[in-house]
Amino acid sequence: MAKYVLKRLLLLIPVLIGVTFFVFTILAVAPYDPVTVILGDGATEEAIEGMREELGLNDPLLVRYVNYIWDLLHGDFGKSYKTRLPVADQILRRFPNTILLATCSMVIAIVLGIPLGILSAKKQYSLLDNVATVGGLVSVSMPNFWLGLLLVILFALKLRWLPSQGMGEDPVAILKSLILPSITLGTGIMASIMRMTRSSVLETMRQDYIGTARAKGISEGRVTVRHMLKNALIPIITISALQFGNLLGGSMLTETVFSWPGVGRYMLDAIKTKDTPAIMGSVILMSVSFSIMNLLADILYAFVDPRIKSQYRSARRKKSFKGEGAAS
Amino acid sequence: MDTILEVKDLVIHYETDDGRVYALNGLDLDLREGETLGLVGETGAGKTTLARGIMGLVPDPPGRIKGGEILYRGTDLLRCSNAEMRHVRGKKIAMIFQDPMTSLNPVTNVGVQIAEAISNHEHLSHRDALVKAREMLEQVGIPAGRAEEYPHQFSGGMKQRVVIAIALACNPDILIADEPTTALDVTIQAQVLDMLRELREKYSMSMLLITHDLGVVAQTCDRVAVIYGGEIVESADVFSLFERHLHPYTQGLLNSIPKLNEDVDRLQPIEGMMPDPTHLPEGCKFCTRCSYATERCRTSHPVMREVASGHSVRCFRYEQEERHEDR
Ligand SMILES: Nc1ncnc2c1ncn2[C@@H]1O[C@H](COP(=O)(O)OP(=O)(O)O)[C@@H](O)[C@H]1O
Ligand code: SF4
Ligand SMILES: [Mg+2]
Repeated sequence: MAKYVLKRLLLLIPVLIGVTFFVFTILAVAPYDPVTVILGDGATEEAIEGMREELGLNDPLLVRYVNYIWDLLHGDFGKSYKTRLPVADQILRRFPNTILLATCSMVIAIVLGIPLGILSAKKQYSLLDNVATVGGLVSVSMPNFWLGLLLVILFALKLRWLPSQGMGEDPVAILKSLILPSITLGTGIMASIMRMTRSSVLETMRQDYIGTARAKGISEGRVTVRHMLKNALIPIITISALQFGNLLGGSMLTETVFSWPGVGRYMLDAIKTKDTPAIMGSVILMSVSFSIMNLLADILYAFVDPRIKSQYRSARRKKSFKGEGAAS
Repeated sequence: MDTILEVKDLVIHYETDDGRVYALNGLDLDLREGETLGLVGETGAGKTTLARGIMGLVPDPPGRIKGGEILYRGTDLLRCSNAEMRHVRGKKIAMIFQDPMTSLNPVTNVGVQIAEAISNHEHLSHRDALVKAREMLEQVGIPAGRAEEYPHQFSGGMKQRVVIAIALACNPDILIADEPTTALDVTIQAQVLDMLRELREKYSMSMLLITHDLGVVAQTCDRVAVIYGGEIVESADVFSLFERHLHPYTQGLLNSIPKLNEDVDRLQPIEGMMPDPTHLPEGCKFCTRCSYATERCRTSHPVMREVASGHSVRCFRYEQEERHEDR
């Protein structure tokens, strides 16, 4: 298992090289000059040329990329073109806020999505199931920022119950300011978790071992949780981990709508000003958190399904077995 | 011998998109204390539906219990609440399902799956239940040390032993075994049957053994009931039935048993097909395949008639037959 995890972590390296190279190239060939952004419209020709030289923008693309990676390997993510502040610092300062928001959103999505999915499955085609289905479709297809705006209008502007902007200072204020953005981000995810739970539970409901469980005379609740849900977990874990990985990379629109000081907003600002080092830093964070969550899902599979665990375990044994077969 | 379980006029239908499936149509059956009753019939005859009906586990939808009674020691299980049925399931009546490959929960170890039944009915702590679960494993010939293993680590025959351990864990009065050996290798079949026979005796249970194999019946059962089209068409003790099989369907079943010297993998099925369960014949349900069928067979429905002591048959051919009184 440890070996498997290590292998997967090593696989992150080529993924990161691919992603960074891709984004770096796109930014470099885009018809848009960061220097004019930095210096403003009134800059002199010399100032611009000086700045280009300073930033290394006159070097060939490959040289610039290799330089960038070289710095990265030394822990240097570069400085923002716009603010001249170190990108790594800036991102790391904002990342906890994004983690907080992502976690709250996921908690809402999971705590509501799984039970609703189970209920829908167990009462298939009932009124509740139909309402949940339609509600789910609406929430999945609704753009996040639009729901965010609606929530702001209702709860912040009309009712004045909750703050609409920023993140509070003391714990209570933070909690209050978390509510609206978490609901905004959590709703769509809740809907997809609910749909996935519903279909997965419907699948396991039909299995023979559910009959065996019921024939023991155990309660329906226990049959549902210990037998149906436990077997239905794999796809639920997959979708939850992917969504969480997405959220950890920062949600640009929602964080912007709520002025949430997270990495998503940082990235959107960076894109607006074509701030290459800041964009690159954000992209790296996105891909790392996404990949780590993927890996975490794979590890969790082994905990919920012993068949998968034994696969991880036997991967090595099988290989050596194949080798013997070839030799003989 | 007292009757421990009596099924009377049980009617169960499935309402499907393709129409109403007439799975059980007024089925009568009685199981006596301490006996093994074989229920024999082709696939689709309604055997599993009967077993699920007794357990109160007919899936609804699409299943509907339309009428009848299932008397367990005089109590009608069909009138029991769900909570009352939970005390019957596993504790009074246990069931083994058809396919051992799929009847165990793949993500829970076998010890826990057995213990779950025990702690549920015997109010033992989880730990004590696990200890007892290990004893049950030994009972079915599996080393207790394998309790922490998962179903995928067991072979088919071993899985069926685990399923049997679950069923017997709370020492039930009645064991319903739905084709317990059909899915297993021939060599394993005999072992599992032997074990079932032994355990039935040891735990002094009554057993309803569902099978489509009359060979199994001959080895294991005291009495037999033959089911066709959701009703019993012949019932007798095993010796009478093998000596004098009266119903044309039973005759077909017996003729389809392969001779020892013939090398056949599969039974020779009776000619013709099971009638469409959504449109069963009006008269005798077997009339579409019966070589003795007359006009009357097609229009009116024969009743069960006792032609010898304890031997009943549902066929017009034996209407005139004098009842052979015991001399
Ligand atoms: N869940 C179900 N939905 C619809 N029809 C069913 C269902 N279960 C069984 N049936 C039908 O009921 C009839 C009896 O089936 P079953 O009791 O499984 O027979 P057996 O166990 O003797 O093979 C068959 O025609 C079968 O197709
Ligand atoms: S009643 Fe008629 S059709 Fe039915 S089994 Fe007897 S002879 Fe055949
Ligand atoms: Mg069956």
